[in-house]
Amino acid sequence: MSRTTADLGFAQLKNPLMPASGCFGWGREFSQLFDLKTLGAVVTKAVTPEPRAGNPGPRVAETPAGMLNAIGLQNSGLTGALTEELPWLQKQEVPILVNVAGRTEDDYVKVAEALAHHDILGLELNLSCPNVKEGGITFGTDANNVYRLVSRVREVCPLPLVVKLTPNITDITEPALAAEAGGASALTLINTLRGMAIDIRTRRPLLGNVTGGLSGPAIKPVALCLVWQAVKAVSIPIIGCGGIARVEDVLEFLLAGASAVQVGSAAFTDPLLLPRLAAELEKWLEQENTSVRELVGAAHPQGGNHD
Amino acid sequence: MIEVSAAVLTNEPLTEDIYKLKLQTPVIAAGVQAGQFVHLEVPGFSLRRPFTVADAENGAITLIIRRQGRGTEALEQTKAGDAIQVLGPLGNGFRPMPGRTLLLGGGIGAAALTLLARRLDRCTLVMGGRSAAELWLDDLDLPATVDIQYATDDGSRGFAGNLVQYAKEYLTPGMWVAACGPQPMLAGLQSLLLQQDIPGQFALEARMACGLGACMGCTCKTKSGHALVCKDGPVFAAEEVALT
Repeated sequence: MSRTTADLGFAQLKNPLMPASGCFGWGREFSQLFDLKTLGAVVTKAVTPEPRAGNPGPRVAETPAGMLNAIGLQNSGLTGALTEELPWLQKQEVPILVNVAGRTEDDYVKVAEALAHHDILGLELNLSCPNVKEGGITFGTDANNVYRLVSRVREVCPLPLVVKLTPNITDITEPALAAEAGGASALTLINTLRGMAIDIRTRRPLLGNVTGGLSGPAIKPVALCLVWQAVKAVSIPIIGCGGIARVEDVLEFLLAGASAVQVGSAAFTDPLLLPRLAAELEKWLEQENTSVRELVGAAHPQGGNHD
Repeated sequence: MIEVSAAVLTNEPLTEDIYKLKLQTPVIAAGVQAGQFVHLEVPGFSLRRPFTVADAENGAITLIIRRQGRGTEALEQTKAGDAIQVLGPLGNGFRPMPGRTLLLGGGIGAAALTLLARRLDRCTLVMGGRSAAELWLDDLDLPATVDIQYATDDGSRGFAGNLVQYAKEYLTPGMWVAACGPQPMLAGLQSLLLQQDIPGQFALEARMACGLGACMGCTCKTKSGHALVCKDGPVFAAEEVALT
């Protein structure tokens, strides 16, 4: 175990850094720029049972300190994932969290069942995509739905289940507790915040999907706050996600109680950000003579599970 | 493909809103294919900006950029010696075909064709614009193998009319066409090429995030479904793209 080791309960990772789902594909493209083994884990693009074409364009727009996206879960379906993407990624010798999405509960169960006996670290259940008409966020905003869906997936899949929740909700502790009760092994907080932009020249919404998900440094304080609140409510590990762009952001999330972190849109600004953060984190921990595990939750007055 | 810090060599205006940015980046300059692009970081902005490489020689690449928003405004302010992060070369370039080549560039779209023009044995490169003041091909020192023509809507220089009208007039069997420009131009050109059974390749543009094919942000419609401009393109077979 080293200073950088991240403890997710169900697994220990060489460091707490992973890409956020949807920002990294299956790692193929970024592997041309750096060795994926420098990462704690890779989180894949969402897999749905059938291929999805995604939303009409434009799908991305820049915003102050961030961006909007409305990709719409474009992916090549379970068959594409199992025949083309997963076998390639498995050869890269990096722990894999496969992100799972669907229109219905049955969709999630189907994908989870198909992946249940593959050599992967676990599944990340996307109950929080704001850019699809059915499924995604509609599951994550209702605690009963979260509980039922996670329980059903738990029945068919022995793998660790990480549940990715939406910030577009009044009280994050409700879906967080529901996911824990349903059998979640960990939580990812947060997915994007719903937002939009209007093109003043055409006088129409800029994104083809009208609304999209806001990410980037703009949402970091929101994400940090929701991690802080959820850490106090649940006892399973939390993976922090939202606006992380610098090593200081990583440290803030760890201190708030996240056991690991995901980096999303900031890797579009700097495609080499993830390996750079891994190196900078290691250096900082050495300088401060501390470790990731010592930092997790340290900002809470009495450690992780207290006010 | 590499991510590298490149020094600005020169940055000079070509017209009222077009400027020419030359960057020292030997590896990209040596490896770039005509039609490929680079993704530039603009300090203070979340998303990079994609630009086709307009020229590559002596260890440097040239980009021709239209000031269009705050990102391209910021890039216009860069000076010789400034460092810019560059990712590239990216995407698929033009695949030269047999026969005489007609290159049609609508406005800033011409910047996607100049490297191809330089590398062909002989070609005609036509730039279209509203009026003579918008044209800038003369300032690029293109070789004599490139027959430069212009088409202007107001007839102030060259052919009077747009590039689709120009193509109607001058397309002949045995040619192939490389084009980049606004969507109505490409749509008009596409029907014309289909009618006359002339092959073509179009360079497309899109709002882009990663530039690599990972985020799936830069979608475009093709006859066979959605494609990614950055990874499947930016150059597509003319008959493949759905432009309506």
